[in-house]
Formats: sequence, structure tokens, C-alpha cells
Amino acid sequence: GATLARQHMLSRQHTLMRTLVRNGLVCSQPAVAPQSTNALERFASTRADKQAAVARDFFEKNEKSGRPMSPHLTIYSPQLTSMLSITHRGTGIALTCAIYGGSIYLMSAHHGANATDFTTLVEGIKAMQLPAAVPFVAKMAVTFPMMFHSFNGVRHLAWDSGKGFEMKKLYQTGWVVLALAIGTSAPLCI
Amino acid sequence: TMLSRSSILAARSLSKSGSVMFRVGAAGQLQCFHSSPPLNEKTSHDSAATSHWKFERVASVALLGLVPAAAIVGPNQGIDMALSVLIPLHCHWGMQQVIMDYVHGKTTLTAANAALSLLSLLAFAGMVHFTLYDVGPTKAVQLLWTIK
Repeated sequence: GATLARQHMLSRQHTLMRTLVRNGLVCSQPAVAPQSTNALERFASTRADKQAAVARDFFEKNEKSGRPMSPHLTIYSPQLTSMLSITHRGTGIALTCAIYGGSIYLMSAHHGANATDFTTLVEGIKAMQLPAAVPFVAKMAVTFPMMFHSFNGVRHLAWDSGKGFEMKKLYQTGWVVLALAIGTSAPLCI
Repeated sequence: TMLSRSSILAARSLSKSGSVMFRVGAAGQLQCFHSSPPLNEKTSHDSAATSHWKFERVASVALLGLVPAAAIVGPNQGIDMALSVLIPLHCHWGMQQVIMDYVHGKTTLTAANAALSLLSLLAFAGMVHFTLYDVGPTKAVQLLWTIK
């Protein structure tokens, strides 16, 4: 009588626990140390450990086998979305290198035997009397990344506020960003 | 089924108010407790990841205002100092994401992050030095643009 009732209650709680885990309300490894280790809790924690061990062995085995990987970047068709995304990253990296390199160089140029300041360096470049195309290209090399990264940055911030994820919007805003970037950098460099 | 739809919904709304955990007590009874404080108390905090994400966007928005301001106002030590802080910060956080995406393995990851932190610190120092002891970034761009 009493044993049967207890068994019935335990099986109901096992079903409850299982349903809660499957619905994502409870993790199968409780973060709090269980104060009563009944079979249910011991079952849940060893199962998670075993799953982690199986996953680890799977990756190790695959790496050891030395099998070739399927092509990915080399075969995926380029699209506006992905191309603008990698350009955003590329311009960011390029601008970082320019700013970091420039500021560290200029700080070091201020000290030592041949110390110069920025105005002197600019005079020196002017004295080189470079053909007009060279300053224009150099300015474009800085301005276009800056403009593209800024306009695409606005697009990114719009995404962060949840707007503009529809396919049509992605492509429209993408083309607008590209047009603005090219359209603003050329006049700024003349 | 043993668990009705309404009780799952009730439990789900409960779990939104922080983390609700269930456990089986000593007498075999089901107990419910919070593993983090519920939101109706005024003590809910963002995780470190959430704060980081927020500050990344704050810096980005600030820069979107600062750079045009520098272009319009012209050389100004206040704007230049703000640029000297925000530009290295924005670059540092951006490069951290790039490193996280492409660098794998614990030792190489630590080395890459250490190198980036050193470079960011030097760049920040360089920009502050440039603002205080030289013309500053805004004037520098103006001077560069005079090269024809």
C-alpha cells in the first residue's frame, strides 16, 4: 500500500523531471549540490558526463584520422550580404593597423636623435613633389575604408536594434551603404 | 499526460523571473527554488558579456557623433582627447572579436590577446601623446589633406 504509493509518486516525479528537462526549464546537471542523492539525480549527472566524454572522443578521433575537409569558402557563391560583411571586417582591420601604426610611429618619432614632429613630416612629403595621382590614391585608401566602415556600422547598429533583417531590406540597405561609401569618399579626396 | 499545458506555461513564466530550479527533497517531494534573484527585486544585473556588448555599441554611437563633430568644429583638444580614448577602444574591441573568430587553441589565444592589449595600450598612449604634444588627430588630417 504505502510502498506502492511511494513508487507511484517517484515515477510521477521522474516523468515531471523528464518533461521539465525536455522543455528546457531545468538543466540535467543541477548547479546546486543536491542534498539528497536519489537515483534520479545520480542518473541525470552521470548521463551529462558521458555525453561530454563521447563528444570529446568524436572530435579527437576525427582529428587523428587526418581526413580531408569539405570545401567551404572556395565554393560558396559570393553574395552582397557576405561580401559587405567581410569588407566591414577588412576595413576595420585595415583602419586599426593604420591608426595603431601611425600613432605608435609618431610617438616614437618625437624622441631620439632625429626627433621630428608631424608638421615637419608633412612638409617633407610635400617637398617630394609627388605626381597628383599619388596623394589622391593615398587619400582614397584611407577615406573609402573610413566611409564604408562608418555607413555599414550604422547598418549594423540598426540590426542591433532589431530592424532591417528582411531579405529585401538587407539588399536595399546594402546597396545604399555601398553607394554612399563610394559617393562620399571620391569628392572628399579631390 | 501528467503535466498539463497550463502548468508548463506557468512554470515557464516563473522561470523568466531569474532561474527557477526544481529538485527532489529528502522526503521525495518536489521543491522549487530560485538560483538567482527574481526580477521583481531591484537587484538584477547584466552579465559581463551583456555589459561588454552594450559598451561596444555605446562607443560606436559616440564615434559616429565625434568624427563629424571633429570635421565641423575643427581642431579642438576636448574632441581630440575623446577621439584618443574612443578610437583605440573601438579598435581594441573589434580586433578582440576578430581574434575570437579566427584564433583557436588556448595558448595561441592568450598570446594573441596579450599582444593586442599591448598594442592597444601603446596606440592609446600614442594618441594621447599626439594630442598633448603635437597637433592632434583633427589638425593632422587637415594637414595631410593639404598635400596635393
